[in-house]
Amino acid sequence: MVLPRNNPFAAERLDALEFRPQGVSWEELVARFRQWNYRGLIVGPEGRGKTKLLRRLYDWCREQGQPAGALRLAFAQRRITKQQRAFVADLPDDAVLFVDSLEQLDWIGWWRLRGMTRRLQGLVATSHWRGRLPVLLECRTSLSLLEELVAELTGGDNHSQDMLSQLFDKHRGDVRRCLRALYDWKSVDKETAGNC
Amino acid sequence: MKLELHSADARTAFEPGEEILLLAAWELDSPVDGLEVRLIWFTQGKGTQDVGVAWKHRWERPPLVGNESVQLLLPDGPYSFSGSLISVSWRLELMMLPAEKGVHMPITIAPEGQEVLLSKIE
Repeated sequence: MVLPRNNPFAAERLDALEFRPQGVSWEELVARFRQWNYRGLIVGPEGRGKTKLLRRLYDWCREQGQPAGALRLAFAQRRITKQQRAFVADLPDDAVLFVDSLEQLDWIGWWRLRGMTRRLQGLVATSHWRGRLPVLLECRTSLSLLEELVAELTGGDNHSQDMLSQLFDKHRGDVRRCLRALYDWKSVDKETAGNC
Repeated sequence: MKLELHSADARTAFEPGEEILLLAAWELDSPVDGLEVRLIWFTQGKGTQDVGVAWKHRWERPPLVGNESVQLLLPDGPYSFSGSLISVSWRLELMMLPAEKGVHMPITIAPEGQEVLLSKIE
């Protein structure tokens, strides 16, 4: 049995992975972000790296000296909370607001957030669906991306391509679920390991 | 730059509730606001990582070269342990402030200094 603290697929190791843009370079992405006045949507289904990219852009803004704030919307949260409204109201006009899970807001919730953030320099959000903001990037995954991440996490440990391919298909490209399944696979004895 | 932190008897495994003496030594390249020793617990594993500071001690505006000692009463728990989903682990840190850069030393806090391994529930 591999102990949780030694499991290469432990959550903190997944968190430490760098976002890897697919089909676009980081420089191109940042140039687009600037050109669009720091407004845009990161779109894609679950497990495609949207939140990771949002955090990377947030860090990048801070490194550039750009004021920035971040909100995370909870599951089924249709409106911005009072505390979140106060947080946004306290941001300076030249700040960029980063919102994770924009799809949670209903139409009124979005309309209010849009009104509150008009004075800000920028608004970037992740969403499962297109709309509300122009699409900055559609996050995609691929089997080769999964292979690359697994190789990085394990230091090139032996995982057959067939196994990763089956995982990728089973979880329909949700790389986060694939990596969590690999955590379980690593944590149990080989002889009792079932399908991931 | 050099930062060192260790227990006086160089052990890294301790009994819960044990009192230990920590020794810190440093050679800094430039002045810092402070040096802080911390005892940290954290989880590792499948879920979101949780981290907490169980104890800390600060030396304000330390000289560029120095050494200090401090007494630490370790908590009674939680024990260092691993199940199938998470490990709870402990570490000691010596951090420069405000940069939050420094060194850390993993330690075990559990009966007989042995990490508790929880076997699978049948």
